[in-house]
Amino acid sequence: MAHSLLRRKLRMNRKGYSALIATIIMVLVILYMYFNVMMFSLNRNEDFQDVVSRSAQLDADRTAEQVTIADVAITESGQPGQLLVTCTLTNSGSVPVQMARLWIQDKSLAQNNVGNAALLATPVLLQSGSTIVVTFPPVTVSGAVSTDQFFVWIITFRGNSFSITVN
Amino acid sequence: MPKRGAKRLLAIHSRIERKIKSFADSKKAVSVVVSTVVLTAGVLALGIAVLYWAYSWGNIANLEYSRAVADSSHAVSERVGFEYISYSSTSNVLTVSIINWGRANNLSISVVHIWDSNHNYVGTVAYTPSALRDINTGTLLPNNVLNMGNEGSFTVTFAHPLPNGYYNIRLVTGRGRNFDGSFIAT
Repeated sequence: MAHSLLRRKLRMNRKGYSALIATIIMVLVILYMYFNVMMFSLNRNEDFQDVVSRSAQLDADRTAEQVTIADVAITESGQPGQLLVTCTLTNSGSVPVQMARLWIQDKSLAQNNVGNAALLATPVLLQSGSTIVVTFPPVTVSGAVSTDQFFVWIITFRGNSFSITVN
Repeated sequence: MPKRGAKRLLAIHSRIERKIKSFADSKKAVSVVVSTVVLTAGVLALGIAVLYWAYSWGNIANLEYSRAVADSSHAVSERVGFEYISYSSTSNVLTVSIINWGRANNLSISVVHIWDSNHNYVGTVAYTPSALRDINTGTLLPNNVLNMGNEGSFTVTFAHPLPNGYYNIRLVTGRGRNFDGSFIAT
């Protein structure tokens, strides 16, 4: 009898309900905010990890680039100091390669002995495993003649450099 | 019957009027109502102000964090390849040709460090490079930056001639990345 009276009293007593409801709402709001901040942070971290992975792939691709230069023939184009370079390029790496610039250094000249040619207008592309014979755009090195000793190097768009000495 | 109905309606109307008049004339609890309205308005105004303030700070924090992550991402994607480094002993000028082969635009060179084969810094610890120039034309590059796949060259001028030997060069980009190369001064 006393037990049921106590239960009835407890059920009828409305004291402390507001505090309970307020606490539940506060906890829900905090959980919602925490979830949002966590998701935001997670997304940014994911983006950053994507960039790191792409950069690692970039480095791996660069390491996989292998180009061999052979049969280099340097001739004079007719203009003084203007040289034409023809060579055989072999891509022995596992990734396609695009050449960015050809550099020539005339080892027989002491100063101002370097010239270069951009390879954007006439792209030099090599598929993996392919071999091409290519004549590069003319390069001007003042005072150079085709019989001089040359150091030739090609820069790829992955920043690699492949070189050969001629004569 | 219609007369009786009209009379009743009139009575109800006059009773309502009296009630409204007595309610309007009564000044009991007006102050409570007014204070409650003022308090509610104050709390609402303050709440909105605090909400707006918190929202603004949240936005700023969001922008700052996003920018910091983007900057870090760009720095991670930066790559520089050395094409050609030449030193002129007559003019004491080092010319460095580079290519941006990374995945980040707006690559700038902020500082250049040079040290010899014994790891001793050459001259001042850090050199400020000249503005970046197009390798083909020699013209200044817009905004002094290299975009993806672009090539450029800059010079470093020394106060004294470099002794013949092997040197290391370190480029520090605007985003704080380091790229090392080497050259021989003859």
